[in-house]
Amino acid sequence: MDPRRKVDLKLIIIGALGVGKTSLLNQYVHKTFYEDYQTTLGASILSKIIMVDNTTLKLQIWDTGGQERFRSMVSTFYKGSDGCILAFDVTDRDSFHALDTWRGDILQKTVPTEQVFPMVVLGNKIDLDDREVSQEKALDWCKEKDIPYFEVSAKNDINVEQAFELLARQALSRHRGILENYLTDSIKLSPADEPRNKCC
Amino acid sequence: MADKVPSEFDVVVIGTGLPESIVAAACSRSGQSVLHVDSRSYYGGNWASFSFSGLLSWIKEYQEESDGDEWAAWQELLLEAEEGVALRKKDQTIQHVEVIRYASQDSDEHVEEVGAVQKNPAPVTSASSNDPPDSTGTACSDTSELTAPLNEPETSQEVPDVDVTLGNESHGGDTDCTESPLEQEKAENVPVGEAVVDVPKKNRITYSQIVKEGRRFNIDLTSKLLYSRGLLIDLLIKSSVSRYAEFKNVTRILGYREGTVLQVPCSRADVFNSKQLTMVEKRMLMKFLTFCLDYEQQPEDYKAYEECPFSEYLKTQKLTPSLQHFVLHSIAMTSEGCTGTLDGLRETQNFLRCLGRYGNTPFLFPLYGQGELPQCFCRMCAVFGGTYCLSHAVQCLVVDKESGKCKAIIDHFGQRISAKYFIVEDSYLTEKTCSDVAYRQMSRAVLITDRSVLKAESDQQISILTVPPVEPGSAAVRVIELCSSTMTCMKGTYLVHLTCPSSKKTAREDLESVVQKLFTPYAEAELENEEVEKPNLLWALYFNMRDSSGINRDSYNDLPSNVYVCSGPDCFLGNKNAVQQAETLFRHILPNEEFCPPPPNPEDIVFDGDGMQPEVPAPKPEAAEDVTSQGDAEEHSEE
Repeated sequence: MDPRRKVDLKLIIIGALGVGKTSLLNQYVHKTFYEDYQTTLGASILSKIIMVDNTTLKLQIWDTGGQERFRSMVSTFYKGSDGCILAFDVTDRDSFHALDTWRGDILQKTVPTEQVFPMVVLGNKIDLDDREVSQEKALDWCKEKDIPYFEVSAKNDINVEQAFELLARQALSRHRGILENYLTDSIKLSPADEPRNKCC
Repeated sequence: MADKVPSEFDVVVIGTGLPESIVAAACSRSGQSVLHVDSRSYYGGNWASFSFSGLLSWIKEYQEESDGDEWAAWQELLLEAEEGVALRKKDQTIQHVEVIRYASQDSDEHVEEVGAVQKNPAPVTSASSNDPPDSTGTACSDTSELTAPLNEPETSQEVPDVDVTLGNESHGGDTDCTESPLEQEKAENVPVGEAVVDVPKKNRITYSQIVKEGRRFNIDLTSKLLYSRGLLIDLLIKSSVSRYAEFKNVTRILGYREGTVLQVPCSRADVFNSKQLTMVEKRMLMKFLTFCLDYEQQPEDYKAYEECPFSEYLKTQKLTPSLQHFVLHSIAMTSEGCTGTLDGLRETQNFLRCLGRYGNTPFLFPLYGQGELPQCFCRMCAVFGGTYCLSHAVQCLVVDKESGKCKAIIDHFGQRISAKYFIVEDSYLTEKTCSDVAYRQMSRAVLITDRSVLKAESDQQISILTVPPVEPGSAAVRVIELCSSTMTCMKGTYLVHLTCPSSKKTAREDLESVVQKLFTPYAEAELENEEVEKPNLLWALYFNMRDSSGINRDSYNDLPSNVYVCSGPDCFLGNKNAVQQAETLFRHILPNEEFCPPPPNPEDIVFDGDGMQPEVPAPKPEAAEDVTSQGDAEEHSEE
């Protein structure tokens, strides 16, 4: 595999409000963490380039933009995604129960292919004491759905990179199997665009 | 999940179509708190796009009896010094919905969309087990056979085994059963025993396949393209909303003359390479187009014709009749008598100036369809703090009697939400509010076909074809044909959109003759040999959509001064109207703010409210899009 060949993958992160999705992204991409919970303004897609199996992957990771609050995600968010991170907060039981709904959404909004849609589940905030969801419980749910499970901490940078990399790997493998991806060379507009030739 | 919607915002926007979504994004971007709601469970309103099963649900909704248009209890929630402006409960902008299914079903087994999340483990048996096997787009059944469950919106629809579904045109719900003349003649000749064949005939797409692959369809209610130098493209790039979408080049401009579909050469390269034009014609066309590109520089050439129709002017321009035809219909995209010379020249010039920016034609099409665009702006609005609630209807606007201004809305839960400005999409206004408005209508058709109208080396073409008016006084029909790599239809099919301003009563009356000129209904194709010239028509949907564009705000009754109206889609090809409306509206509300400026450097994370702010470096001069030439594996991040 030529490392100069870049494969673009779109990953999305979903889960209940406040579980730490943005923090997880920031930890993975920026290696930063901000203590106070605030709604993020202005940042919505983070990019990261990694090497997996001698292939250069450009990950475009979409944050929800806050639209999960009233379950009003734009379908644009799901379109063309290659993999999904399902996150919950181990100190918030409700956020764990919500995984069913979020997973259902994803399965409903993506086009089924031969290979199962790549997903990983992240149980975040393991650095806190007041756990409401045991590792066992989470593992059971994930085993049943056949989704890899990671216990993570965005704050202390535990397991975050591993989780994303596994997902990227799965997403790459599935992406390669989809023929249409080779047809969909598309135009991405940018301010740097300048007209080619002005032809009449 | 039981979070309550806050009760105070700066701006409330009702409806998620394109113009109002752009306004919402602009307001949010400039720091206003925005609540953006839609009564539907999906984004876009009449600008939305649907999977195949989603479209079937949409169709069913408009065929159902209306259960009363008025909200009830809101009057009791008003205070002494307040009065209310009611909003609509049920949308009435879509009429004359007709569906014709030509492609056969494989067998009697019940058909389902792949990947449907089953809520009941027991499979639902098809309602059609008693239907005769030769159901190939002829029979007309009564609508009671529709069994698609709507109470489980999370699952896919079970597809009813009915061939023709007719919409009710009024509350009387007549099931007027008509067949197109073509189908009637051939009915007796339809082969029996379709159901016996397990494997579909080679290359034959069946209805079952369409349903199974339903999620690969993204069917737009509104059919448009983006001009490569146009207001919408410019806005998308400027605001960086373009990051949320990808685009494909429209690959061909097609024309229709003397019963044939032809490719219209418009770029220099196309003209030179054209095998249809003679050398003389090539020179004529190039000369004329070169002139058009800067026509204002030579006013003496057209001044005499300023008052004439463009078609008359073209006759004097040393162009063969066929070249005149193509300039008029496929380049300027105007019709015989109705466009003046200046407008025609301007449109031609606009077309030409858009060539070459991204590709050989002036147009782009969004991957996944036009329905992506309002959503991209909604996402931008959310990212800057906008609050989003789908399936959230509003009962009324609350008006302060003394000031005459709107101060709040009351939603379907009875919750009062106050704001300073209100933006309402036209379809939410009641008949009472719109009693003086004279709406126009658009006629639309959506077709699923199996081949392109014009064969080419590659089957992945995106084409726009303008069919001139069939009779004087009727409108030209714009046809946009989408291949599967636009991600709007399944492999092996094409999605074809037809649009024209309504002249007859129903969309089917306006458009069917054009459909018949271009396509062969599937059933008929069985009888002819395999070398049928016209593509097969597998499925067709016709409907009329209200055109609420260009309406003067004063035409609406009793609207408080801080309530603004956005229109639904218009008939034009581009999106200029939506952008202009949005910008005008924004400047009324926030005259001192910039309209959708580029976001700050994406690496700055701006936090809402009090709390630690990271250091915010000054924004870079342009929102630098990622670059593909970075070959090293070094981790970096940008947006």
